[in-house]
Amino acid sequence: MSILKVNELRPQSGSNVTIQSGYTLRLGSKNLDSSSVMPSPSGQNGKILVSNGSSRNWEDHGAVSMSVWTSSGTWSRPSGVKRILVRIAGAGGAGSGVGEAGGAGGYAEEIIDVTGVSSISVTVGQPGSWGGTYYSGGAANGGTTSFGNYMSASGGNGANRNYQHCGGLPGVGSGGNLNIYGGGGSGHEYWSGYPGGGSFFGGAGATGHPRGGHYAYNHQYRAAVGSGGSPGYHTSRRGARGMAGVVCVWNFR
Amino acid sequence: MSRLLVNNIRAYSGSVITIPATTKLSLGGKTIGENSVLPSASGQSNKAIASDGSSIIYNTYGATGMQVFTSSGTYVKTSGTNQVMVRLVAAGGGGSGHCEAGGAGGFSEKILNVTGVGSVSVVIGTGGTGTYYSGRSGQGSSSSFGAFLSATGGDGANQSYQHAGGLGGIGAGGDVNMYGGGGSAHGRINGGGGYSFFGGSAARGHPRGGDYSRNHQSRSAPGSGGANGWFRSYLGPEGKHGMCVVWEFR
Repeated sequence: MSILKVNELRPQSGSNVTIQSGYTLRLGSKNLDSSSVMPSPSGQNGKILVSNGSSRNWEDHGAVSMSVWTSSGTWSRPSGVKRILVRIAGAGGAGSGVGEAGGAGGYAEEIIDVTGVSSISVTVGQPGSWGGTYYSGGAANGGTTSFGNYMSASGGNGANRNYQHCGGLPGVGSGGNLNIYGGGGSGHEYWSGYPGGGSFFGGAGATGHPRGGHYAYNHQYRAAVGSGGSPGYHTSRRGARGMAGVVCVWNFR
Repeated sequence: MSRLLVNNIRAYSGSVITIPATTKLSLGGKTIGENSVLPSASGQSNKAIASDGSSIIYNTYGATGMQVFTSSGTYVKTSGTNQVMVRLVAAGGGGSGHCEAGGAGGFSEKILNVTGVGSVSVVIGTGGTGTYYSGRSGQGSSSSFGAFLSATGGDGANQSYQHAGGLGGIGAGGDVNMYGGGGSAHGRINGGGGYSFFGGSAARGHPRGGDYSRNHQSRSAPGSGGANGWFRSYLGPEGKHGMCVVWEFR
């Protein structure tokens, strides 16, 4: 052990004072070497220093993007994304007439760690192919939405599918941190009655009057995703289809 | 003042050159010491450099988890959480008959810094009771998240005026504070309960399905108002209970 007492170090020549390779500079109890020095912040505006398990790199952070599906597909992890907040709704059931309306799709929400995941299959529930129908007829059920094996949300039932003249029961979420029902459809009323069941994302389409023709049916796409189909006027006007579900993914780094 | 002119420094023996902890090493005006040394990145995958108040550490960051309350309890902060986004809805009021339906609970939403908070008491409102046509249905009870946020329940049908639908409740204390939707008033057969932030009320039916709305009252969005019983002969459903959803961020 030798001790050197000095207040200032300067290079004898050039501008560098070097701790020669193979030697370590210890500050108090911690070793300062090439792996423990802050990398240059130049050009790294807004980034933070993140470990990849062996070294540190400047990375983006926070909510960086959103991916939305209204039909089935695949979520592929954007580079650097570590967690996702996923919101899904099932499709709404369709409406009939005289107030008989479809139920809304269920809803689920979850925060998922995706550091070990590269892609996840997305299925978006669609309204049944025959859509809305007339008074007292069985209207189409909405399909189930799912996000891989993590979570799913069932579709709402169509009017008259549970019992005659009864509104469709709503779907429900499962597998998420949050799993809730959508709103149910209304039952037999007079004339048009009430709109279909409301989903997490909003209300069903408008109900009408013969002055507007098949009003509920003609404007059936002007409704929130996952909402139930509204009924047609009385017995002579067709009910609206339910709305397709949705998958919304917020990507966090 | 002493000055050493040197290009290469090596240890006299062994491989370590030590600056004692009580001594400061100044690099062009910035002082460095033990706390300037970045800890090893090994085994710290996906964690970021952060401060624990005295030292440099590796920390998880971002949206890390969610807690959901559908009944009263205590929110215990997941260790390391810095901020939370809280969504709170109160319970819906109960429904009666002949379209007389309950209002939805109010809604409140807020981003809170919880670095100095360990736990928060959570109260979740329960739905107002349902009754028959023209009867006064119960008001949904309030929800709260500590002293930070609260929301009042929706009124029951016939509560404010005879044959009128229940008025929606209101949020307080949040960054967002909103009313829930109101319930429908006296009509022919089937109306609907008020919409909450989270969605619509229970389904309505017909005697073919028995006391349909009542039987399926749990199948409705949290905070929504109780729908109505068919005509005057069926019991109106209860309002749906409230809910609190906490997103945790680090």
